[in-house]
Amino acid sequence: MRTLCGVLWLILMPISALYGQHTILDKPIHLPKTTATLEQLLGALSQQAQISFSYSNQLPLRKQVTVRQADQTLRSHLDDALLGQSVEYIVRGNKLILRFRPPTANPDSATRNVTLRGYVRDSASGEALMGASLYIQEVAMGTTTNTYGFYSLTVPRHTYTLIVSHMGYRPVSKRIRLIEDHRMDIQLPATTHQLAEVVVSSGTSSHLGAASLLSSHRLDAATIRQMPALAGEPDVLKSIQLLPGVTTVGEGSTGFSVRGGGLDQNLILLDEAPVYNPSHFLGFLSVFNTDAIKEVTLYKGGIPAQYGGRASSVLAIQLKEGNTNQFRATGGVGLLGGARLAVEGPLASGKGSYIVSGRRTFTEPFLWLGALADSTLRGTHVNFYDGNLKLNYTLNEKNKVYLSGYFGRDMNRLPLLDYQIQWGNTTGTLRWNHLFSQRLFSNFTLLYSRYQYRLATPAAAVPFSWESAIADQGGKADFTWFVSPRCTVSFGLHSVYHQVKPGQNRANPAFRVPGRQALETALYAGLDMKVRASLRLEAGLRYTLFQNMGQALVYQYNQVGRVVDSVTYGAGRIYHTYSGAEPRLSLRYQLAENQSIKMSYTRLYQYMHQLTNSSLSFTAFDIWYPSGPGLPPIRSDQVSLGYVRSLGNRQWEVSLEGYYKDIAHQLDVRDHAQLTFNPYLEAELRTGRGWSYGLEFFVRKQTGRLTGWANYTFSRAWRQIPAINEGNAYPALFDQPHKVSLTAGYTASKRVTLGLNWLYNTGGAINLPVESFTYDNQNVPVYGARNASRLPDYHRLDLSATIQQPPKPGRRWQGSWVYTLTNVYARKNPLTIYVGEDLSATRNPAQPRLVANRVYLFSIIPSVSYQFTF
Amino acid sequence: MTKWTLLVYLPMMMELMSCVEELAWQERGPATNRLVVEGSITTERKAHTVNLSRTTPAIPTEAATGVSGAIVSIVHGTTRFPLYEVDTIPGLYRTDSTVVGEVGQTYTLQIELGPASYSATTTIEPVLDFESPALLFASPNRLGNPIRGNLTVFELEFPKVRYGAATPVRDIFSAQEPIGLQWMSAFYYQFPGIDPEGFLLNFSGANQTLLLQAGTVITQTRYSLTDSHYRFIRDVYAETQFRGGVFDRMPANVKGNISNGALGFFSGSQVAQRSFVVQKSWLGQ
Repeated sequence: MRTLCGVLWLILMPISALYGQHTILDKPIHLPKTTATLEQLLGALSQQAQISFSYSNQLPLRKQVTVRQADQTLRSHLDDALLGQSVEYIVRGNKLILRFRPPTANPDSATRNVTLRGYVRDSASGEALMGASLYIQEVAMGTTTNTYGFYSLTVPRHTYTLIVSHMGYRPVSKRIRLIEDHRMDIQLPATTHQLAEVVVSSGTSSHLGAASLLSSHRLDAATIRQMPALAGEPDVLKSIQLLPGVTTVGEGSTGFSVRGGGLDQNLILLDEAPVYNPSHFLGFLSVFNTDAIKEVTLYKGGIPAQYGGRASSVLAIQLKEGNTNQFRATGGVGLLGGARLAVEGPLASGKGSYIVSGRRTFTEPFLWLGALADSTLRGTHVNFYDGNLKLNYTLNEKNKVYLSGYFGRDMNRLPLLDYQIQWGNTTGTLRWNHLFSQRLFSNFTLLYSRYQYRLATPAAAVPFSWESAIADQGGKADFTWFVSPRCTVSFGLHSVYHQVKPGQNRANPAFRVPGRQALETALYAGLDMKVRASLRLEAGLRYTLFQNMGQALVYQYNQVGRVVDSVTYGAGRIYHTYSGAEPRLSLRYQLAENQSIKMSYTRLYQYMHQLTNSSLSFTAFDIWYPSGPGLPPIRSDQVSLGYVRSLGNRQWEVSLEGYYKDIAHQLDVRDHAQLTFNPYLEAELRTGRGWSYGLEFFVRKQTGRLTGWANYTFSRAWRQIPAINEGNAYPALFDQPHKVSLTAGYTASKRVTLGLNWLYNTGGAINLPVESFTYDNQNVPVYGARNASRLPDYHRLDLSATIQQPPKPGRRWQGSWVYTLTNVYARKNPLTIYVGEDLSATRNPAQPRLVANRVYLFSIIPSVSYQFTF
Repeated sequence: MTKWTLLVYLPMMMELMSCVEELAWQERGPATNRLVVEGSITTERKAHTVNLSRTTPAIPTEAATGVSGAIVSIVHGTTRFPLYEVDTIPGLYRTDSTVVGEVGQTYTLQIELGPASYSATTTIEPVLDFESPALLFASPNRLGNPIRGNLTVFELEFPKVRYGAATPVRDIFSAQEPIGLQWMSAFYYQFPGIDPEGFLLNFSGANQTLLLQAGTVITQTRYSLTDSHYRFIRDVYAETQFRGGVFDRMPANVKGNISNGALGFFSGSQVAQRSFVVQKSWLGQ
């Protein structure tokens, strides 16, 4: 017994001593925020804490120290005051002894850096949060989470105040004592109804101000859902089109142009996999189901070095990972988008999660009813479906894997026209996150993407079809090295094998366009560095290599586009190579705590091209085609300069940005080009120069009951291509000099949310005839300069109201009705204008007339949809 | 159903209704008054014609006026076939009735008009062999139900263009309709490949038809088209018959083969002709 007591005494004595130490040091102390000498501070602490200090007068007692936080523990006050000093403190009873830190065997160990790392997640769903800001108050430095929600901060040993924040979430402040490498996952609670109660200290504000990016926009799924949408169907690409610098051609299209770039010059990534045609329903909806999407980032300029392959922009869409805490389902029913359902939940006791989502239209009842009235509609099918799947699993602390995929099809069968059109995308990515060290994060990706369409006339006397496809298979290795809070380095290697089947005709091989294969490889390195407290540098270099590979039949053309020879290359043989370096540079200078200027330069190469001769942006029959011996890659150079300022405790953000973009080898097709059923496709292509410039003004309110943004964009986009428009410069199809958009959401109550969109833009450029001639009894238009005319200005107001059903105790089901009025004042915005036979409802078929026809898609559309979660 | 409601209405159904309205039109520039040529040489022994006119406003209020006083001829090697203006029809010029073109030969149209001269060259390509006449009743041609009041007389509706031919041709069908015994004719072009905008609008608006019954004799006349003539016709159709759909191609000028800035086309064709009797089985009887 005596021995046992002795052992217990030996164990408990140190614990008791530690407890005493803990109690004194954790005593809350209030000091006014001020600057004083260390000696004065110690005196104040002694008085407040009712303890005595013992120290040598050799200590730097006259050093000025600042009390940044008034209310904190004694330990925190001491840590702040002694930060960077070789002074330590120890507790002896009710006395604190300050002394010089004794020398150690490793002189660096006392000031050795330690690394804090981990993930930032949504507290409710466990979703990783990309772009969350982590800020260490004492050193006024911080970092942001990467795409996977990971962060790493390397700082000297000390006790710090860490503030973690993310838009739409309540900021979290943590006091942490870092004496060794440490992992800390942080969970942020979402603010409800966008009523963000952001209390941001000045230091945090400073950091957040620096994090604001010009030339890019990030939208989360909640923001997209809050915006009024066509027929009540929230849509990613329709939301993107409301942003400054983004224009589109025609009503109801998912195609978009960014800062004067072509519709094919936007790299659309769904969980790292490229999507080649994001359209459902000929473009009325995009293929991205908002129930499955976490967030969307659009880069218009200053594009990070990890991205490349398109000349104008990057649209990175992240799928949700799935709820790691509980099973949840969301869904909805609407007239245009049909029915949709997404289910998500944890896997393997929270080690992973899943989300599965699907959509399908249900036009059949309407078509059946239509067929009763009009027999020509019998047998008609018009529908689409799609599905997303994502799984993730944490193998251990250093390894995590993700599997995600998309599959969608549009099926249109029109017996009236003996016509079938089908198209669809398939994408898949397998990703492995591996932590090589506390500071070196890596991600390895295997990706697959395929887009294909088929046009068929099954009932024709000689049935024939046209099929076109592009498939990508590739891998990526991306590394992020968190060197210090001031410096992050990223580097990686990407390689994608493109297989293109531009056009196949099973019935008649003479119409087949020879297939193409190419290997696109990119090596990149990027640096994100805080050069000074007010100056941040992002620099990068991406080197790309594009190799055409056999098996391929390559035609050679003379100057007028006639085939003069052909060469067949064997399988696997590299027969042509392009390469280029893409420098990227962004500088951000912080003028004050809440305002900064930024300038950037970006060069991009584009090797894959979308060939189209459509006057609208319905893209079902476009052909993807690679650069090759006769088709150089597009090269774009963009410079931009901007100013951003936050106002009202960061409730408002205002930015003004100008840009100029020059595009070399801009691709277009000759007049009346024949792209389908044409083996000599390349003879239809022409290249030249493009350029665009503009000024974008953007105001955004991010918190409070009223959120939203307004923007005004002045922009011009020009093309000059020999053999088109007699070699003279002409406005691009999507050149719209003035654009204004206003998007607002208002949380009227806990149950009612209102939304508003108002759009205005100059009418798009169009070719209208200046005269005509008669041939074979037909009035053939004669056009002047290309795109010299304008459609009438476009404007439209959309309103929506989302009313949540009252919650019932014990019931998980939460439903809401979404009422939408699209085009409230019923403006007939023309999709196009053309001169032709009178097709209006008032025409007299017996007396055909030649008139100018204005075609518009819709006037006012009231709609209602139902959404639910449980 | 109009062109636009044809496709756009279907996907959108109850939700969206596309509409076409007449727009008040403002001419965008004075007509340049350029010369327009429409002429041909074929392997038929006949008086070949060339029509000369001028451009008109984009939406003309009156027919194009003929251009008189030109010196027009068709030249084949060292042989020159002069064309003379028809007294009663200004702008219409024709050869004598003995002119015959030959397959594989090249012909040049020459026009002298005041100080300006214009020319165009064409070659006569061989015409595609006829297919089985039964195919005339297969898709995409449309045999309608018997017309009201007469159970044996059917209406055969023709597309504007029949796609998928090995080489392009123009087919003209003529027959004596069985009720009023009037002569009717209809035609279509046969194009290789598919133009999506064309296929979609092939049956929009008014299409040509023939009334027939079992025993009706149909005369089919086929004209060969050179590649450049086919492309010209294809482009004319894209700008006229096939303009107004969701797959419209970019509007652009139709380029002919007349020199010196004139518009239009001078074509050469081999002509083949056959007649056949409509079989009862072709009518589904």
